[in-house]
Amino acid sequence: MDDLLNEFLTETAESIDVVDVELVKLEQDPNNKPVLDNIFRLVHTIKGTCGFLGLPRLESVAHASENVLGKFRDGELDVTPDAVTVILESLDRIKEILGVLEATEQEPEGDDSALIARLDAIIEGGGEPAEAAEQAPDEAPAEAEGELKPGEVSLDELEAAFQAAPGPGGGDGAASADNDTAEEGVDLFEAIGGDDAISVIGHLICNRIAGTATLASFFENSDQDAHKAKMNGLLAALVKDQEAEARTLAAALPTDGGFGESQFAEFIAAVKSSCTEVGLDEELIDDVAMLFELVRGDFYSGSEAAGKKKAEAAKSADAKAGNAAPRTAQSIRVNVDLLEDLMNMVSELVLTRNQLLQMVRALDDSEFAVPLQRLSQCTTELQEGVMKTRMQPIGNAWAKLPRIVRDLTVELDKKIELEMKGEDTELDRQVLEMIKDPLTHMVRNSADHGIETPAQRLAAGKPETGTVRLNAFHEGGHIIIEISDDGRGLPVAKLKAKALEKGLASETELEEMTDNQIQRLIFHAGFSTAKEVTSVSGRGVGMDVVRSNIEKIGGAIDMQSTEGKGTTFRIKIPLTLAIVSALIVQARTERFAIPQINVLELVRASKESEHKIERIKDTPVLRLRNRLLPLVYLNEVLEFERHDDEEDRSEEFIVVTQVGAFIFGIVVDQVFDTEEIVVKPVAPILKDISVYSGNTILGDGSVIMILDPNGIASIASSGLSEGDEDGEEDATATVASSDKESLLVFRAGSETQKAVPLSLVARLEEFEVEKVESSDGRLMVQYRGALMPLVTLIGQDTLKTEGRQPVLVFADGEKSMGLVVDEILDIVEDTINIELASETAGLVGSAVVQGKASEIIDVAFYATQAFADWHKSAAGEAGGAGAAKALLLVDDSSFFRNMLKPLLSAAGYAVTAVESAEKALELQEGGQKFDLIVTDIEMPGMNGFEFAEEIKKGTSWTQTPIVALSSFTGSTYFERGREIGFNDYVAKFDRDALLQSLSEQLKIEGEAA
Amino acid sequence: MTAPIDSGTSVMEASRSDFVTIRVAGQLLGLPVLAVHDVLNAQKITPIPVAPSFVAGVLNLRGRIVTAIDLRNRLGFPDREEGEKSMSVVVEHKGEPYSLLIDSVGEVLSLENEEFEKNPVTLDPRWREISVGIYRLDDELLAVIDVKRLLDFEVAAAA
Repeated sequence: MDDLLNEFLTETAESIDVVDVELVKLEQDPNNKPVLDNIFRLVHTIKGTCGFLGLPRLESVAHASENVLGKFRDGELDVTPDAVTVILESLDRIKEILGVLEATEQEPEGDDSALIARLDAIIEGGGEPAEAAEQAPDEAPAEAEGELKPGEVSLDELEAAFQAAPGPGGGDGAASADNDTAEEGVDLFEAIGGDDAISVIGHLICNRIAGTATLASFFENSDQDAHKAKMNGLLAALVKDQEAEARTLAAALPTDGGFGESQFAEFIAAVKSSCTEVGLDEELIDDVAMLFELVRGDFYSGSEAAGKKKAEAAKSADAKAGNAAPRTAQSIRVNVDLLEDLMNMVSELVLTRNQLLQMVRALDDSEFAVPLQRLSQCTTELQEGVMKTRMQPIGNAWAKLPRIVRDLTVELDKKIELEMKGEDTELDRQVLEMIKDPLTHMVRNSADHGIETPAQRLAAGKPETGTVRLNAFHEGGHIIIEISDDGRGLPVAKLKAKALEKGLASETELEEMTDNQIQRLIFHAGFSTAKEVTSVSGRGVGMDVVRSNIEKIGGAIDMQSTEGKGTTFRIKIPLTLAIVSALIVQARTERFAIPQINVLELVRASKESEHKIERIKDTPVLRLRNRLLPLVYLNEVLEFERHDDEEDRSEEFIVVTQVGAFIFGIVVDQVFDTEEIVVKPVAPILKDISVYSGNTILGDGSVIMILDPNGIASIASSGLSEGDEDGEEDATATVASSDKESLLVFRAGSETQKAVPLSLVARLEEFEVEKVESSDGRLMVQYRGALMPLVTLIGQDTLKTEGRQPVLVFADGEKSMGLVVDEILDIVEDTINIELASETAGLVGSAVVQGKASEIIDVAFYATQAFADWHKSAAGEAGGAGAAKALLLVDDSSFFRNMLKPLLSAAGYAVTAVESAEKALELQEGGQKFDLIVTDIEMPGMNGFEFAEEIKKGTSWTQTPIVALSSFTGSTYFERGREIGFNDYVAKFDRDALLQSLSEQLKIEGEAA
Repeated sequence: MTAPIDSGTSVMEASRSDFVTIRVAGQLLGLPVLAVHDVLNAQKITPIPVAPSFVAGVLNLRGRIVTAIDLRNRLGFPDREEGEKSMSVVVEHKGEPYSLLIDSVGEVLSLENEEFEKNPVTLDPRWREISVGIYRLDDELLAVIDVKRLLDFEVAAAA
């Protein structure tokens, strides 16, 4: 049976049972509003579903009842027992129809107008319910006829048959004529009164049989009509003297074995009395009875055969009985909370099972092994069973889509067909809930942006009607959902323009990207391709939201699009969220779990094998099947202290991980096996740490953290501090804006491409190597009548031995310096987006320039190498870049120092970081000067307040603005901070506010000076 | 700063209040007796890298994952020395269990409310934040910890 119908029947049967009970309650307590509301709602639902399924009879009855209930609810009608009776009757009618529906899947024919009229009458006769009450009993019997059970002959019909039958008077005449021709069957047929009379007699005989207990059992027949037809046929055949036909019919009549002489006698009696009733005279009756004698033998043999058949049927019926149990027993409704609880308990059970297995594994030959095996088996089955209870067909999430697409076709004047395949693919309801909205959004997108207008389609040689296809299926423990359309595809050119406009990528980057890569840009935040925002989509929620929603549940989304042909999105999601399999790895001494869904493969890299970790500057990469895999050291992500032995470790384990389209390797110290884990959310205080997605208890009872590959990926791609805290010099950034800038790209020292903002470069010169002189241990050259110091990059120690030496000249006021380079490569327009901030002296960080990783040179650093007083003389005047303000950062946490230093450096400050107030005061005593001080409040030893007080007491730093950084940002703190002399108070995590505040302080300072 | 006493959950309303006494770096502290769910001996704690420093890690308490808070760190005391014994008391905050790492657990004291005093104004702000007030015991002072504020990290969204 159709699933939908099946569900409807179950649900409606339940609802009706409730309504039955509730109606009775209502009758006793007519003013019980909640009960009435509940009834109304249920009936309304029934009506709605009927309309949806195309069941007009049910719908009309339910509708009429609903009207009456509506009046009750609105207080326009009083709840009277009579009205309730009628409604209950209509419920009974609904139940009858449902019964037939269940058996035949068809709504039975019938007329409910009388019942509906009575319901309507209640509404109209609102004031006089008594009238309705009077009507009710009168009409009730008539109603009973209205509801035609199949096979029953209505009284009306019977009446008609009687009318058609010759009256007793006419019968007499006929009978006398019959006397003469009694021998001839045809005459007998005439004498009885033709077909009409026979059918009446047949009907009566059947009724008699049914009324005679001893006979009834032999003529049981589910199909009364067929039974009667046979009886009539037999009668007709007999009176018409068609012996052969009569014999077969007679043999077919009995439905049970054991039909003997006594039964036959009774049967004949029934025939006779039936004939008498229709007014045949005795002679004729005797003739008819005699005719039945002809087929007596056939009755017996028929009965015998039927008896055997019945015995067999009974057997199979018994077997079927299980299946044919009442529908309500097939499914019950269970509170979702209960299922969740069950799931949790099963999860715990699984954990305990794993724990036991682990313990027994350690013991050889344990007597527990066998029972534990069984326990394990049962647990697995239980887990599967409980999981199944949470499973819902994905069609549930799609149910709304046809309507959405239909509305869209109207609104956008397009022709779109929605094809859905694999609706019954099941997945966890939790997952289902979470993909519902993204799916809706994507289908909407496909219909809105993907499919063209009919005119455009015809012009492109496509069928007028566009198709959006949804397909869901299982694939290796995951569910794959494909959403495809045959629309215009994603326009690469437009996307490029958009990406440039939004600054997501530079032109050179775009040049090097494949079409597919460009199309994937739609997953980037802040990307919406629709030029005009239609009312349908493009409300600011783009594919990036879809992607993040899907990734949130551990899924992945991919896309293929061919311009002009269409687009296919492919979503891969786990079956369930509650229990996942995870790879257990180790970093330093701690174990961590990585969800298996993100793990592509494991690679063991060693110096000798074909896989080895190589480095571009300090960035580790792995060559893996002709592509470079960026690597992240888990130890560094987790900020473990660096160990010396790490450098020359002979082998490393790399977990190749995929997040969306981004594939990278996580280098771990050790890889263990995979384990089924139950994901438990982390405590609220750890929620903000992006590298963890949860925690779990392992088989051995220990708690481990579950790593979130998404979080690690974002750390990996957003810049990772190398952690060498003791870099001799502080990085000083001169450029960090993400606006377009002209960059000079060159090579010096290592092979890595280097770049410097062109605005800083005064001139490009080439000097004869011989002209380079050495004085006071420094290289210099005579240039424009003065000596200009030359500086080599760190790592580049020698000049060329002959020929001309290219030099970048930086000038600042009177001073010039030259930076020795090996080769000037190019000048490009690009955005400097420092992806990896560097702590290495002389480097701002690494950025992608012309699609290549490039080191951005810190000019200020080399300038100070050339002239120790470079900054002092040139404060604020340096060509375009602005001399860096010296900033002192005091924080006890190395994490914060590492986080803030690159940030502040990138913002153009020359940062000196110290880990305590005492250290800072040492610097003060040492006579160092700073333009700004940023200090943490909570520090061991001297805290931020004390530090500030100390400074403000009257030191060389008294005038220096101090900004407090704190995680406690209560107003009391602000007040205390201000009293002491803090110029501002900023929350520790608010980077923007910090930068804002710093520049404000400098401005105030500038104005004051 | 005055220490507001929550009417609903406070144990200060009767004339006497019961406290579980704990010791952290020599300081005697009191936790309302009803707030304490469990007292544990040293447990195997899984450290959480990158977490705020006062989070000692997570531990498995009868199948429940409990976040361990290092009270020494939280209260600004120096770290426990290696090999020094520790204990835990388990409290609950917003439905989440937390295990407070302490040095030792003392007895349960029933204290007269008359002995209770507000925090001295000069108290370290870190302490004022989490201490409801002070009891004057015969030989020393007992600071009453407000579990709610101790564990309300949303306000103190440190790292």
